[in-house]
Amino acid sequence: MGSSPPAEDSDESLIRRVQGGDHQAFSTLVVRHSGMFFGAAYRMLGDKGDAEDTVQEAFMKLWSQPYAFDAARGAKFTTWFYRVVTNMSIDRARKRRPSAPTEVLETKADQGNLQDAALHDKRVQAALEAAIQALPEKQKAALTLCFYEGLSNKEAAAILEVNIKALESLLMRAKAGVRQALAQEGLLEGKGYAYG
Amino acid sequence: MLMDELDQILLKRAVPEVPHDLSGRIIRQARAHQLSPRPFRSLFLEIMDFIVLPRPAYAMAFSLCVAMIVGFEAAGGLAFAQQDWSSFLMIDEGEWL
Repeated sequence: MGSSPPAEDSDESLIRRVQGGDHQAFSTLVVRHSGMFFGAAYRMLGDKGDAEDTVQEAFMKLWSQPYAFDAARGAKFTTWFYRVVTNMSIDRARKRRPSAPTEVLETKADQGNLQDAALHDKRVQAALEAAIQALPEKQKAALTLCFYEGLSNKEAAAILEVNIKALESLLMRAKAGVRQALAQEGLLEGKGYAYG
Repeated sequence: MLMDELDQILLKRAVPEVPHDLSGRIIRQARAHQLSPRPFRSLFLEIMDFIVLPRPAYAMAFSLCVAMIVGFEAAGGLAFAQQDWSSFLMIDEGEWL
Protein backbone atom coordinates (compact mmCIF):
# COMPACT_ATOMS: atom_id res chain seq x y z
CA MET A 1 0.00 0.00 0.00
CA GLY A 2 1.79 3.09 -1.17
CA SER A 3 0.85 6.73 -1.01
CA SER A 4 -1.77 7.76 -3.52
CA PRO A 5 -0.64 10.10 -6.30
CA PRO A 6 -1.60 13.73 -5.81
CA ALA A 7 -4.92 14.81 -7.24
CA GLU A 8 -4.73 16.46 -10.62
CA ASP A 9 -5.78 19.80 -9.23
CA SER A 10 -3.63 19.66 -6.09
CA ASP A 11 -1.13 22.42 -5.59
CA GLU A 12 1.76 20.04 -6.09
CA SER A 13 0.36 18.79 -9.39
CA LEU A 14 -0.23 22.31 -10.56
CA ILE A 15 3.29 23.39 -9.67
CA ARG A 16 4.70 20.50 -11.69
CA ARG A 17 2.73 21.76 -14.65
CA VAL A 18 3.96 25.29 -14.02
CA GLN A 19 7.48 23.93 -14.14
CA GLY A 20 6.61 22.71 -17.60
CA GLY A 21 5.52 26.20 -18.61
CA ASP A 22 1.78 25.67 -18.18
CA HIS A 23 0.31 29.13 -17.76
CA GLN A 24 -3.17 27.80 -17.06
CA ALA A 25 -1.88 25.87 -14.06
CA PHE A 26 -0.14 29.02 -12.85
CA SER A 27 -3.38 30.99 -13.21
CA THR A 28 -5.21 28.39 -11.13
CA LEU A 29 -2.64 28.70 -8.36
CA VAL A 30 -2.91 32.49 -8.43
CA VAL A 31 -6.69 32.52 -8.23
CA ARG A 32 -6.65 29.90 -5.51
CA HIS A 33 -4.06 31.46 -3.23
CA SER A 34 -3.57 35.17 -3.96
CA GLY A 35 -6.23 36.21 -1.45
CA MET A 36 -4.80 34.16 1.36
CA PHE A 37 -1.26 35.41 0.82
CA PHE A 38 -2.47 38.98 0.43
CA GLY A 39 -3.91 38.75 3.94
CA ALA A 40 -0.67 37.36 5.32
CA ALA A 41 1.42 40.03 3.58
CA TYR A 42 -0.90 42.78 4.78
CA ARG A 43 -0.66 41.59 8.36
CA MET A 44 3.12 41.72 8.13
CA LEU A 45 3.38 45.02 6.26
CA GLY A 46 0.36 46.98 7.42
CA ASP A 47 -0.02 48.58 4.01
CA LYS A 48 -2.39 47.48 1.27
CA GLY A 49 -0.21 48.63 -1.62
CA ASP A 50 2.90 46.97 -0.23
CA ALA A 51 0.97 43.76 0.36
CA GLU A 52 -0.27 43.73 -3.24
CA ASP A 53 3.22 44.35 -4.58
CA THR A 54 4.69 41.63 -2.39
CA VAL A 55 2.16 39.02 -3.48
CA GLN A 56 2.61 40.00 -7.11
CA GLU A 57 6.38 39.80 -6.82
CA ALA A 58 6.18 36.41 -5.10
CA PHE A 59 3.98 34.92 -7.80
CA MET A 60 6.18 36.36 -10.54
CA LYS A 61 9.14 34.73 -8.85
CA LEU A 62 7.22 31.46 -8.92
CA TRP A 63 6.50 31.90 -12.62
CA SER A 64 10.02 32.89 -13.63
CA GLN A 65 11.78 30.40 -11.33
CA PRO A 66 9.35 27.49 -10.88
CA TYR A 67 12.11 25.04 -10.05
CA ALA A 68 12.86 26.97 -6.89
CA PHE A 69 10.14 24.76 -5.40
CA ASP A 70 11.33 21.19 -5.18
CA ALA A 71 8.20 19.04 -5.20
CA ALA A 72 10.29 15.88 -4.82
CA ARG A 73 11.13 16.81 -1.23
CA GLY A 74 7.51 16.31 -0.24
CA ALA A 75 7.08 19.83 1.06
CA LYS A 76 3.73 21.49 0.73
CA PHE A 77 3.50 24.25 -1.82
CA THR A 78 1.73 26.60 0.60
CA THR A 79 4.41 26.16 3.24
CA TRP A 80 7.10 26.99 0.71
CA PHE A 81 5.18 29.96 -0.65
CA TYR A 82 4.57 31.27 2.86
CA ARG A 83 8.34 31.35 3.22
CA VAL A 84 8.71 33.30 -0.01
CA VAL A 85 6.03 35.82 0.95
CA THR A 86 7.33 36.12 4.51
CA ASN A 87 10.90 36.75 3.41
CA MET A 88 9.79 39.30 0.82
CA SER A 89 7.60 41.04 3.37
CA ILE A 90 10.42 41.20 5.89
CA ASP A 91 12.82 42.57 3.26
CA ARG A 92 10.31 45.15 2.09
CA ALA A 93 9.53 46.27 5.62
CA ARG A 94 13.22 46.71 6.41
CA LYS A 95 13.85 48.74 3.28
CA ARG A 96 10.99 51.16 3.50
CA ARG A 97 11.17 54.28 5.57
CA PRO A 98 9.47 54.19 8.95
CA SER A 99 5.86 55.22 8.49
CA ALA A 100 4.21 57.89 10.52
CA PRO A 101 2.77 56.58 13.76
CA THR A 102 -0.79 55.45 13.48
CA GLU A 103 -3.12 58.03 14.87
CA VAL A 104 -4.93 57.00 17.97
CA LEU A 105 -8.25 58.64 18.47
CA GLU A 106 -8.61 60.16 21.87
CA THR A 107 -11.95 59.94 23.48
CA LYS A 108 -13.28 63.22 24.62
CA ALA A 109 -16.18 63.81 26.86
CA ASP A 110 -17.78 66.14 24.35
CA GLN A 111 -17.89 63.75 21.37
CA GLY A 112 -21.54 64.43 21.17
CA ASN A 113 -23.41 62.12 18.86
CA LEU A 114 -20.54 59.69 18.23
CA GLN A 115 -21.26 56.23 19.55
CA ASP A 116 -18.81 55.34 22.25
CA ALA A 117 -18.61 51.70 21.25
CA ALA A 118 -17.76 52.45 17.63
CA LEU A 119 -15.24 55.04 18.67
CA HIS A 120 -13.68 52.64 21.11
CA ASP A 121 -13.42 49.93 18.46
CA LYS A 122 -11.77 52.33 16.07
CA ARG A 123 -9.32 53.35 18.74
CA VAL A 124 -8.53 49.75 19.57
CA GLN A 125 -7.97 48.94 15.88
CA ALA A 126 -5.59 51.86 15.43
CA ALA A 127 -3.66 51.09 18.60
CA LEU A 128 -3.49 47.39 17.79
CA GLU A 129 -2.21 48.03 14.28
CA ALA A 130 0.39 50.49 15.54
CA ALA A 131 1.51 48.05 18.24
CA ILE A 132 1.88 45.17 15.80
CA GLN A 133 3.72 47.22 13.18
CA ALA A 134 6.12 48.42 15.87
CA LEU A 135 7.21 44.84 16.56
CA PRO A 136 10.48 43.52 15.14
CA GLU A 137 9.89 41.86 11.78
CA LYS A 138 10.45 38.28 12.92
CA GLN A 139 8.11 38.66 15.87
CA LYS A 140 5.50 40.13 13.57
CA ALA A 141 5.95 37.26 11.14
CA ALA A 142 5.68 34.67 13.92
CA LEU A 143 2.48 36.26 15.19
CA THR A 144 1.03 36.41 11.68
CA LEU A 145 1.88 32.83 10.76
CA CYS A 146 0.82 31.17 14.01
CA PHE A 147 -2.05 33.30 15.21
CA TYR A 148 -3.65 34.59 12.03
CA GLU A 149 -2.69 32.07 9.36
CA GLY A 150 -3.28 29.09 11.66
CA LEU A 151 -0.02 27.35 10.90
CA SER A 152 1.43 24.90 13.38
CA ASN A 153 4.50 25.86 15.35
CA LYS A 154 6.50 23.33 13.35
CA GLU A 155 5.43 24.80 10.02
CA ALA A 156 5.98 28.39 11.15
CA ALA A 157 9.42 27.50 12.52
CA ALA A 158 10.34 25.93 9.18
CA ILE A 159 9.15 29.01 7.33
CA LEU A 160 11.12 31.37 9.54
CA GLU A 161 14.10 28.99 9.57
CA VAL A 162 14.27 28.85 13.34
CA ASN A 163 13.77 26.02 15.79
CA ILE A 164 10.51 25.59 17.65
CA LYS A 165 11.88 27.00 20.90
CA ALA A 166 12.98 30.14 19.10
CA LEU A 167 9.59 30.43 17.45
CA GLU A 168 7.80 30.14 20.79
CA SER A 169 10.09 32.82 22.15
CA LEU A 170 9.25 35.08 19.21
CA LEU A 171 5.54 34.53 19.78
CA MET A 172 5.80 35.22 23.48
CA ARG A 173 7.76 38.41 22.94
CA ALA A 174 5.39 39.56 20.22
CA LYS A 175 2.36 39.15 22.43
CA ALA A 176 4.15 40.78 25.36
CA GLY A 177 5.03 43.75 23.16
CA VAL A 178 1.46 44.17 21.93
CA ARG A 179 0.05 43.72 25.42
CA GLN A 180 2.38 46.37 26.81
CA ALA A 181 1.54 48.84 24.04
CA LEU A 182 -2.20 48.36 24.51
CA ALA A 183 -1.91 48.61 28.27
CA GLN A 184 -0.10 51.93 27.87
CA GLU A 185 -3.07 53.17 25.85
CA GLY A 186 -5.38 52.01 28.57
CA LEU A 187 -7.03 49.51 26.25
CA LEU A 188 -6.05 46.38 28.09
CA GLU A 189 -6.55 45.68 31.71
CA GLY A 190 -3.98 43.66 33.56
CA LYS A 191 -1.61 41.22 31.93
CA GLY A 192 -3.96 38.30 31.29
CA TYR A 193 -3.06 34.85 32.51
CA ALA A 194 -0.36 32.64 31.16
CA TYR A 195 -1.30 29.62 29.15
CA GLY A 196 0.50 26.92 27.34
CA MET B 1 -6.22 26.80 25.74
CA LEU B 2 -8.36 29.59 27.02
CA MET B 3 -8.12 32.86 25.18
CA ASP B 4 -7.31 35.89 27.21
CA GLU B 5 -8.35 39.44 26.55
CA LEU B 6 -5.36 40.06 24.31
CA ASP B 7 -6.23 37.13 22.04
CA GLN B 8 -9.75 38.45 21.68
CA ILE B 9 -8.43 41.87 20.69
CA LEU B 10 -5.97 40.32 18.24
CA LEU B 11 -8.80 38.42 16.58
CA LYS B 12 -10.64 41.66 15.93
CA ARG B 13 -7.83 42.98 13.78
CA ALA B 14 -9.23 44.27 10.52
CA VAL B 15 -7.79 43.27 7.16
CA PRO B 16 -8.87 45.01 3.95
CA GLU B 17 -10.64 43.04 1.28
CA VAL B 18 -8.52 41.44 -1.36
CA PRO B 19 -8.30 43.76 -4.39
CA HIS B 20 -10.64 42.29 -6.95
CA ASP B 21 -8.14 42.61 -9.79
CA LEU B 22 -5.06 41.33 -7.95
CA SER B 23 -5.10 37.83 -9.40
CA GLY B 24 -5.92 39.18 -12.86
CA ARG B 25 -2.94 41.54 -12.77
CA ILE B 26 -0.60 38.77 -11.73
CA ILE B 27 -1.86 36.45 -14.46
CA ARG B 28 -1.53 39.16 -17.11
CA GLN B 29 1.96 40.06 -15.98
CA ALA B 30 3.02 36.41 -16.14
CA ARG B 31 1.57 36.08 -19.62
CA ALA B 32 3.45 39.19 -20.75
CA HIS B 33 6.61 37.69 -19.32
CA GLN B 34 5.91 34.52 -21.27
CA LEU B 35 5.32 36.32 -24.57
CA SER B 36 8.67 38.05 -24.52
CA PRO B 37 11.13 35.22 -24.11
CA ARG B 38 14.84 35.77 -24.09
CA PRO B 39 16.24 32.36 -24.84
CA PHE B 40 19.86 32.99 -23.96
CA ARG B 41 19.05 34.91 -20.81
CA SER B 42 16.49 32.34 -19.76
CA LEU B 43 18.99 29.55 -20.37
CA PHE B 44 21.43 31.35 -18.12
CA LEU B 45 18.78 31.72 -15.45
CA GLU B 46 17.86 28.05 -15.77
CA ILE B 47 21.44 27.07 -15.17
CA MET B 48 21.76 29.47 -12.25
CA ASP B 49 18.58 28.01 -10.75
CA PHE B 50 20.46 24.78 -10.18
CA ILE B 51 23.15 26.61 -8.26
CA VAL B 52 21.22 27.28 -5.11
CA LEU B 53 23.29 28.63 -2.27
CA PRO B 54 21.33 28.50 0.97
CA ARG B 55 23.13 31.49 2.43
CA PRO B 56 24.93 33.22 -0.42
CA ALA B 57 26.80 35.76 1.72
CA TYR B 58 28.19 33.08 4.04
CA ALA B 59 29.07 30.85 1.10
CA MET B 60 30.98 33.63 -0.62
CA ALA B 61 32.80 34.59 2.57
CA PHE B 62 33.75 30.96 3.16
CA SER B 63 34.93 30.57 -0.43
CA LEU B 64 37.04 33.70 -0.11
CA CYS B 65 38.67 32.41 3.07
CA VAL B 66 39.38 29.05 1.46
CA ALA B 67 40.82 30.76 -1.61
CA MET B 68 43.09 32.91 0.54
CA ILE B 69 44.30 29.91 2.52
CA VAL B 70 44.96 27.93 -0.66
CA GLY B 71 46.70 30.95 -2.13
CA PHE B 72 48.99 31.30 0.85
CA GLU B 73 49.74 27.57 0.79
CA ALA B 74 50.49 27.68 -2.91
CA ALA B 75 52.75 30.69 -2.46
CA GLY B 76 54.87 28.58 -0.13
CA GLY B 77 55.38 26.04 -2.91
CA LEU B 78 55.87 28.57 -5.66
CA ALA B 79 59.51 29.10 -5.04
CA PHE B 80 60.03 25.35 -5.14
CA ALA B 81 58.16 25.15 -8.44
CA GLN B 82 60.31 27.93 -9.84
CA GLN B 83 63.37 26.14 -8.70
CA ASP B 84 62.17 22.97 -10.41
CA TRP B 85 61.45 24.93 -13.57
CA SER B 86 64.93 26.44 -13.50
CA SER B 87 66.47 23.09 -12.96
CA PHE B 88 64.40 21.76 -15.82
CA LEU B 89 65.73 24.45 -18.13
CA MET B 90 69.26 23.77 -17.07
CA ILE B 91 69.34 20.02 -17.24
CA ASP B 92 72.82 18.77 -17.24
CA GLU B 93 72.90 15.93 -19.66
CA GLY B 94 76.49 15.19 -19.05
CA GLU B 95 78.11 13.23 -21.83
CA TRP B 96 74.84 11.95 -23.21
CA LEU B 97 74.82 14.26 -26.21
